[in-house]
Amino acid sequence: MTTSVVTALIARDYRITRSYRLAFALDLVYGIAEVAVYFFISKTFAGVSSAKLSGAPSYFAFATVGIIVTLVIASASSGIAQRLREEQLAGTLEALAIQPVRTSELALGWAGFACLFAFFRAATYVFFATVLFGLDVQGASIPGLILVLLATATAMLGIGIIVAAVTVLFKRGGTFASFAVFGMSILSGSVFPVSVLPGWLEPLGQILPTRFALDGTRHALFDGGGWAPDALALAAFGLVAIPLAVWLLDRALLAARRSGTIGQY
Amino acid sequence: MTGANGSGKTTLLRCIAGSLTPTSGEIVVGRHAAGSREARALTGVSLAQERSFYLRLTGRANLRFFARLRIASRRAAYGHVDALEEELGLSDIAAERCDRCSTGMMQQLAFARALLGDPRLLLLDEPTRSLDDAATERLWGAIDRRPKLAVLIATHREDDIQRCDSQLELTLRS
Repeated sequence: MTTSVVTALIARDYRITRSYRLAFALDLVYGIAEVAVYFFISKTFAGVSSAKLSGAPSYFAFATVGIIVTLVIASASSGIAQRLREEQLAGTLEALAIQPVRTSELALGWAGFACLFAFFRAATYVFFATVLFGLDVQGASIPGLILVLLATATAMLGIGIIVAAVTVLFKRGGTFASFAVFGMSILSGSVFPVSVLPGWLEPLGQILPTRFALDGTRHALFDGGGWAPDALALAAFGLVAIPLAVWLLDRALLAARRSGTIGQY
Repeated sequence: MTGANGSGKTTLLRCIAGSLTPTSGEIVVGRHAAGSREARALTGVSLAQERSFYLRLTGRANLRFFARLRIASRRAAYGHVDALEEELGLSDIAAERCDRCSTGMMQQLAFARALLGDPRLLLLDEPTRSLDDAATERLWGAIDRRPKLAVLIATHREDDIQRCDSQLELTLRS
């Protein structure tokens, strides 16, 4: 695999995103507004113990992690399919498919900018949550936070590539991705602790990769330690899922070549 | 390659380019199966160009992007695009955002894109359909300057056919 293809796709997506200046700015404003909403909701739940909030010092801190992790999860799991869908609609997918590039290069390139932009937005939200709303990150491990978020993106990339394969074959995989991200985030404790789920749902919430992402991020941001097992579990999930997902995407592109639907939307 | 509408000219070009797999038979490009990465590296393609560029980017940004998919070094890729712009007289067109380009301008960009990476085989689908006389001459001039390049053109225009070494007439199957 050559990095030039991946970096070319990332640079292209950056230029296209930058060309929509208002949407670019609104993305950031929307996230900061979401953080503000959870800040005021948290005032309703003042006094909830840290033990009940997976180690987060307050509900606001708990929900802020939910926001940034969901952002990374959504970008990694639906960013590729979204980009591929745009290529289908714009008519550029066929132009890409006849270039001498590998499926893995396309998948990583399509996901690259979405993930990098999600990291940037996550950092911006944490910054504003700290400066404007007093989020306490004194004990945070920044390298730990970066590694956990990178591992989260790696883990979710496998799911994202599978959604892209679905999009190649059935054209609209985005709804499937949105539903999956919403379900996994909710069940893993993005806006409320897993412990309040009905007993029969709690075990499911415990084994989802998103639970490791949320726990690891909370450990890194509020404890400064204890995030490594979560990061390792996420990385392991990604290392198993990505090759399998790339193989599936490759098969899907082959099937689209056979059926003559690669240029269709 | 000539033939009535629907006779399969574009389909055949797509099969050779690798975006469509034939239902039967085999296509080989330079000893590699059509559609394989090696065959795609040997082949430059200009199909339906109107919907194959990133409209929010300039022609130059598009060409540079596609060049980097074929040429690993960024400097070499950009240099290659600069040289093609100069050879084909594309500087003004390349500076425009693609959503402001006419069909003829896009067609010239599509031809330039097909030449990226110095392919051995060039597949062109009605490459002169929307071009003025000067742009048509520049296109044929670029092909003439590449005597080792094999070119397969689907066209309806008599002056294009006159420039070709041989003609393949496709007929509609009843």
